[in-house]
Amino acid sequence: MVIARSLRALDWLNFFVANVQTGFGPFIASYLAANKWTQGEIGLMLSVGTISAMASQLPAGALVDAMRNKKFAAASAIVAIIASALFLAASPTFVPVFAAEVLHGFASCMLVPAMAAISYALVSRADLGDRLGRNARWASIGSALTAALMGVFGEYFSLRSVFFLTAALALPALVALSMIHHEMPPAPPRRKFWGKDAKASREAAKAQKRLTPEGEERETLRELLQDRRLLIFAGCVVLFHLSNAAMLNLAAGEVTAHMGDNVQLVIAACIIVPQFIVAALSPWVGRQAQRWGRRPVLILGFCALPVRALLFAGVSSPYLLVPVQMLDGISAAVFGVMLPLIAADVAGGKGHYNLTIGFFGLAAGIGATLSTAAAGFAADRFGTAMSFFGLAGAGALAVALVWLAMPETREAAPKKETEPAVEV
Amino acid sequence: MATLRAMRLAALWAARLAALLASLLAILASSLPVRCRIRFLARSVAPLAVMAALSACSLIPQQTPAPIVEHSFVPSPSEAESADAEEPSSAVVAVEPASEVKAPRPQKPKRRIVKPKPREPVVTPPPEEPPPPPPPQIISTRILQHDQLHGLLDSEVQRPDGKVIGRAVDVYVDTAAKPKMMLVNLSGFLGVGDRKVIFPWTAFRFSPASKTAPITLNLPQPAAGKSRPADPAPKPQPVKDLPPNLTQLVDSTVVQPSGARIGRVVDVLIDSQAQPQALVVDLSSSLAGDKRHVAANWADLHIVSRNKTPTLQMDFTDAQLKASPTYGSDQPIKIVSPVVPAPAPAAAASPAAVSSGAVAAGPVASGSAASGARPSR
Repeated sequence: MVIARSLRALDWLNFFVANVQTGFGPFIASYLAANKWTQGEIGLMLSVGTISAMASQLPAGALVDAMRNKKFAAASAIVAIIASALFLAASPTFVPVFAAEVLHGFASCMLVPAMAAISYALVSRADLGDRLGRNARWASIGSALTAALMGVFGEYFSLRSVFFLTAALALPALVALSMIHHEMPPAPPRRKFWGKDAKASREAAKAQKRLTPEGEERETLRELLQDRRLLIFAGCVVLFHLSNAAMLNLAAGEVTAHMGDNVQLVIAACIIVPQFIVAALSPWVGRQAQRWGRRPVLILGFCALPVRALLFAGVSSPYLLVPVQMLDGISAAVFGVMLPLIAADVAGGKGHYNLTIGFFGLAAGIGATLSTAAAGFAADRFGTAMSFFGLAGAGALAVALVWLAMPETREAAPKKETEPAVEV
Repeated sequence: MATLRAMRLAALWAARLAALLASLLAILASSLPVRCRIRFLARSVAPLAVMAALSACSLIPQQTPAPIVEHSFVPSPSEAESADAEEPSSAVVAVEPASEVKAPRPQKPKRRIVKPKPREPVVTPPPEEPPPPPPPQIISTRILQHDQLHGLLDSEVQRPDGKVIGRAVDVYVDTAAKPKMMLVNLSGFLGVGDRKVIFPWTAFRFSPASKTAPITLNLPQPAAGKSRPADPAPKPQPVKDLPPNLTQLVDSTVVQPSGARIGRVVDVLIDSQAQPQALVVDLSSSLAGDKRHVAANWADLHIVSRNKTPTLQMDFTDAQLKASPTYGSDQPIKIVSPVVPAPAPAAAASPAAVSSGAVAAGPVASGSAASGARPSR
């Protein structure tokens, strides 16, 4: 069964892409510092990365929307990420690092929607929750293993080797991608892009300009932006990340400041353990989102945030951070599944799916950036505990927003429906 | 369809999770004795790597393990070698540009005199000796080796028991240019949980020649090796508790007395007595372009107040900066200080040869040194 094989390939694609993405992020700061970059230079470069990632969310999403061949979009993004990893490894000087940051910012903004779009094309709407759950599971397994592997490489070889590792792990992602056959069996006439019938498809596309690649009527941007669900969920995403993004770093920083013996080990566990929780929970989350609807699942996952922040504020032993971090697994699983799922509810089939994911990604970026800045400021000014309380407050606001304002976005699913949809 | 997949999922799930848990355990177990293993590695591999790095850096392969500053200049081979190393680059860097600049006035090419500094180890390279017409000498240099001085930036900081806790980031000096505080980035895992804290400068010991971490955080008792993580005596303080009137060095701009920009501090070179010996200043004005680093003598650093903000000031003129040898991690460290009676007319056009020749070595050298140094960890 072609589709089963494609789905399995998609699992592996998620796995390896997560590998690749883990290498970018806070680790770059360590790498540059090890190459005698001053803090000012590192800060500048990280801002470049943040800005380019945020600025390219919407254009990248729109670009993926416009590309008929989502596989090609994903493949080019992966190649760009390989290139940026190699830039970083080759020479930690200004120009290559700058190029790598910008390239990676844009490519990862393309990759996330492209992979969601491929998933969306492979399964029916009713199965999308399941599918996204599996995506999230494999992605989290991938990033957990890679974090461990990178820690080992960084410790025993060199920080530079981590980027070569990253580039090497991207190659199997390309292989997995090539094994996905993204003919949609029951759907409207799919046009193929690789090879012979590409030309025919181009002509077909010319014939129906106003239609999306999937042959659906394209919703106008104005309609999309007036969608209440879109705006409210974007607000939830901002608040979620406002609460979430700085939390681990702040808690881990407390561990580091004690200069204990097992700092690295504890923090590694804080990163890796939640990933396994995500791996375990995501498929369940996807299923329940289909069965119960989105709202209850969202509320459950978002509730983990303020609880975790309060526990962090109260916990003193570094070893207790690890169990507290398991709550992170819950909220991360919910968030990872629900973001593309709600994007599909809002914009699926109307031609702006990827743009919508980009929009939520932008919201996440804004929240995360604000979070880091605000938590750092609050920790300096009022102490770490207060900072955690602030994060808990943001998390509680996120819960409240979901609870009070977020409508149920699940459509009355054709099959699998055991109860009437709760429309708000 | 759905049930089929659910069944397959369940089976796969169980198997995979078991495998993952096993691998996680293996990872955790293997990271526990990381320190021991690293020490083992360091003992067996590091000497080789360091030898390689040293020879690549044209350092003298075996200096005395604890280099007292005066001492290390006694061995004649080292002197000869450092002089050799000095010769070609000084020819490139200092002599020719100077002659070019002054070509109209005196007929003779100018020689740079390496003038002994009174207090610190000094090398007067023999080949440099004959300076027939004593032309205005604009800079003086003294030469030290990389095992006598260590760049502060990103040096590993360890506890006395050898556990590396982080890396040095910055120094804060008071208005008399005395180092008071060190900013250390305590490291987490893959950059997560890094935390910058300050320690009093006196809490550290420096061992520039050390094959392991060059900076040690002193603990009161040598028996502190088995102290629990709870609290080593010098408590890290958050950066906000920084005493007032201190000035951050790294990334700060150094200016001339006239207020003109000299460059940006990128590193501080510290000797084994915890005494800073030089500021490494990046003379290039943009981050993107080629860099030219100069090691400027610490004693010439003044903290002055400009517009109520403390500012780093040094007495270099443009010509003196141009004549200064480039600092690179593969050459002996040439610490430059301005010579006061420098004649003003020397300040003139820039010989492009200097910067291009000097700069070419910079990034490459630092890259290779970094990659050479890392495996020895």
